[in-house]
Amino acid sequence: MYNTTVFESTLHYFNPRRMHKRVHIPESHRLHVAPSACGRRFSIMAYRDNNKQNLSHLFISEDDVVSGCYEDLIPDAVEELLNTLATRPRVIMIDVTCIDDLLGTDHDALLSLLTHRFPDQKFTVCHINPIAMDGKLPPMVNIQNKNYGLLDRTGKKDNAVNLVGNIAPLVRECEILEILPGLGMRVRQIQDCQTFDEFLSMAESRLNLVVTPMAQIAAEQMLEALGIPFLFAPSSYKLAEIVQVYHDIAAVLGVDKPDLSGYLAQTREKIEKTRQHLANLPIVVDSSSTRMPFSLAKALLDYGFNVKMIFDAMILNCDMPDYEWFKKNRPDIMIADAQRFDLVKMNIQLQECLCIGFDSAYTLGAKHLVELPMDEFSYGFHAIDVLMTMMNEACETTVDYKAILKESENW
Amino acid sequence: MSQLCVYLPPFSSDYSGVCSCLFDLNGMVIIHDASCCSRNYVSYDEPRWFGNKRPIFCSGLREIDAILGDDDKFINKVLAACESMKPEFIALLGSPVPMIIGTDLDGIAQEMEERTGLPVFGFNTTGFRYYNVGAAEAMLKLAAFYGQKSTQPIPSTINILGLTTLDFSDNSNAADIRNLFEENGFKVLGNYMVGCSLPDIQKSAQAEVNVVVTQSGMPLAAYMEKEWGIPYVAATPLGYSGSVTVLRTVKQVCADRKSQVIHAEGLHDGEVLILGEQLIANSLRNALANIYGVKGVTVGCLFGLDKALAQDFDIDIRDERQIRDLIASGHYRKLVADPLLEVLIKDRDIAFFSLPHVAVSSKLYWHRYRTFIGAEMETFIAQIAKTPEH
Repeated sequence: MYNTTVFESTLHYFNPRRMHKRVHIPESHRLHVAPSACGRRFSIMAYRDNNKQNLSHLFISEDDVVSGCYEDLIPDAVEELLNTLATRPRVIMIDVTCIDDLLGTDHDALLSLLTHRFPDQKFTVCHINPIAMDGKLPPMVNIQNKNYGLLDRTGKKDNAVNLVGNIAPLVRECEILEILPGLGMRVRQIQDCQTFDEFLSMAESRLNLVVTPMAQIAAEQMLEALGIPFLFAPSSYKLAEIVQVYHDIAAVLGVDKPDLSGYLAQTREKIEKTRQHLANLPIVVDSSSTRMPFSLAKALLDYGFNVKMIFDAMILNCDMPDYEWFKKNRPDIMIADAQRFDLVKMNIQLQECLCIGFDSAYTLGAKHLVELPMDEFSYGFHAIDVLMTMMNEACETTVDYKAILKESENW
Repeated sequence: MSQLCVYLPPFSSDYSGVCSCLFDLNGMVIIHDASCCSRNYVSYDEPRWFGNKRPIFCSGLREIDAILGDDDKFINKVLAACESMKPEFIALLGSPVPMIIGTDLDGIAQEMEERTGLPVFGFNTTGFRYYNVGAAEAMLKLAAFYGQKSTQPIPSTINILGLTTLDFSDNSNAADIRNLFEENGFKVLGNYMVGCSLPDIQKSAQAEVNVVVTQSGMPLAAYMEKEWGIPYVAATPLGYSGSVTVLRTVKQVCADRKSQVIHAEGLHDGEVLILGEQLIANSLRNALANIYGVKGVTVGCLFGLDKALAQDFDIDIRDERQIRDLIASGHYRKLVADPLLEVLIKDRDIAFFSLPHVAVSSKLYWHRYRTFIGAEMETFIAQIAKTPEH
């Protein structure tokens, strides 16, 4: 299980938030095999990301389901797809949805059939099945597993560290891009790969740095299949944890610990200035901004910020220690289920607050918003630096919800 | 036939049609799904979601509940929410998984009705069908349940059927269409379903005529004609002259009590292809023919073809390849469709005219919608007619 259910099981209400992007493997094409309804949001999102050319759909009908052999449609669809696309993809990623969990499709047999019919074509099948959201392999975990599962052992190793699991590319200003080269390592990430072959070279890296909890199983699989060790080091806003990550990297690589004193001093100063600037402004943290909102809230609390509320929907196991800490030590800080149905009529007058995350800001009608798309902006000390900058800016501005709406519709 | 779709998005599905219709009412709507279907609706099919908090919820269906067929968990969640939300009615909607496991939403609705004392509507939506099917079912169920027929229709009153934001977005279109009739001597009793209330639906049984503005209103029009003797006019008011035609026809139907589907004379399969919602496309064709004499116009129905509304050369579009083949056939020189369809044109000599449709392009264009009544649409119609063929 990736998450622990602590909230009462109720109907869910969804705010009009943005969808999280999906990483695109270069020269890949996704074939979404499902009832037409299931693929709509992925398709519209792909248009928004200018990535629609890499996504197709195979609509299945009620008759296909009743006949119990909808997977038989896939090989012919693949042939038509390959004949239609201007450029042949290196890999076709077949996405199946919730209904596939109940139909018991034999994916190994399907892959075998496809590989036999299209011998030069690589395939993978991925479950996009929110019905298994509370299971061992929720969709975001499946996607990571399938993405990195495309890597094959090459027998070569080079001095590189993979970032595993990040959706957006790491910003160039992040100190990890200074520190790792200082240790003789370069950084690889999917987003930098221009070709499928370049992506495949991630199999040659010496270490995987797991920067999101969702990629832990993918890293475990890579350890087994490719022999790449990993460090589980999801984005953290706690200085001690960031320092520990760099020390662990050095230990795994067998090199001296990097000197982090400059980064630490600079970050501490930025935190303190921000704390003074925000004075006692109430702060709300939610899970639309970070996978581990309790960890972020605890960090902010330790830095002296006035944390008032935390919103989460499914608390990841790696965030549970901080959740437990809040429950035990700070019962005055409200913990809210970010999907509970009665959010629709939540009436808490906290407008004069700063929300880190769109969901809580929208729910509370907050005046100040820091909008982080799921930790995907930076890492390490630089992530804290960026967060502090955004908090400073947010407390000086009033959020323009109409502008956010408009931006969400731009493409 | 292949259901491969390479260039276009999947269109809005039946559960979104139901939700869209119920949006303005004081009910509580639950989509029985894991999360994707609900998110499809709230994020991609409902232009009004941002800025409006409506009690439309997801059941949070999980694998173990589906495998065990545990309807009680679903029912208990709905009952708990009902206690808190105090809705006037409850609607339970299906999605692909309930369809696969055979969840009987009508049966659950019946049970819940007994336990809550509220009207509870079950919709066996599946996600395999388009929005118009769901919208039609929602309008029909509401009217059949709440409509209160009196002995005599109220003179100069109408209902507007099939008015959904999935067809008209959330700009001024719905208000413009209503105002068109109200400014011309008609009182609108039931505005199915934008800005509609349950009292409006109750009164709608007393209308003199129904005006059907999209295909999704046709089943309700047929029901009201059969059960309550209300005749209908099927046409979307477009531009100035198209609106005048509809008004004139409504007055005529008030007098002769005979339903009419408005069709221009002398239409034939010609150089213009309109791909979209059948009744809106029909009405655009009528305007082209009546104002400009452009009579070679074929309608390709993206969401199913209703024979009662069609010319014999109109086309029921089944999949993307059919659209590509039609466009590539060389038969058509002008294409009117949602802007996402433009990518299917490979022949540069085919002129494209953009008519966004929420059920196709979702939020990509829903706030760049055309206004249907007045100058903007009149100009658009003129552009289609006057652009020379290559």
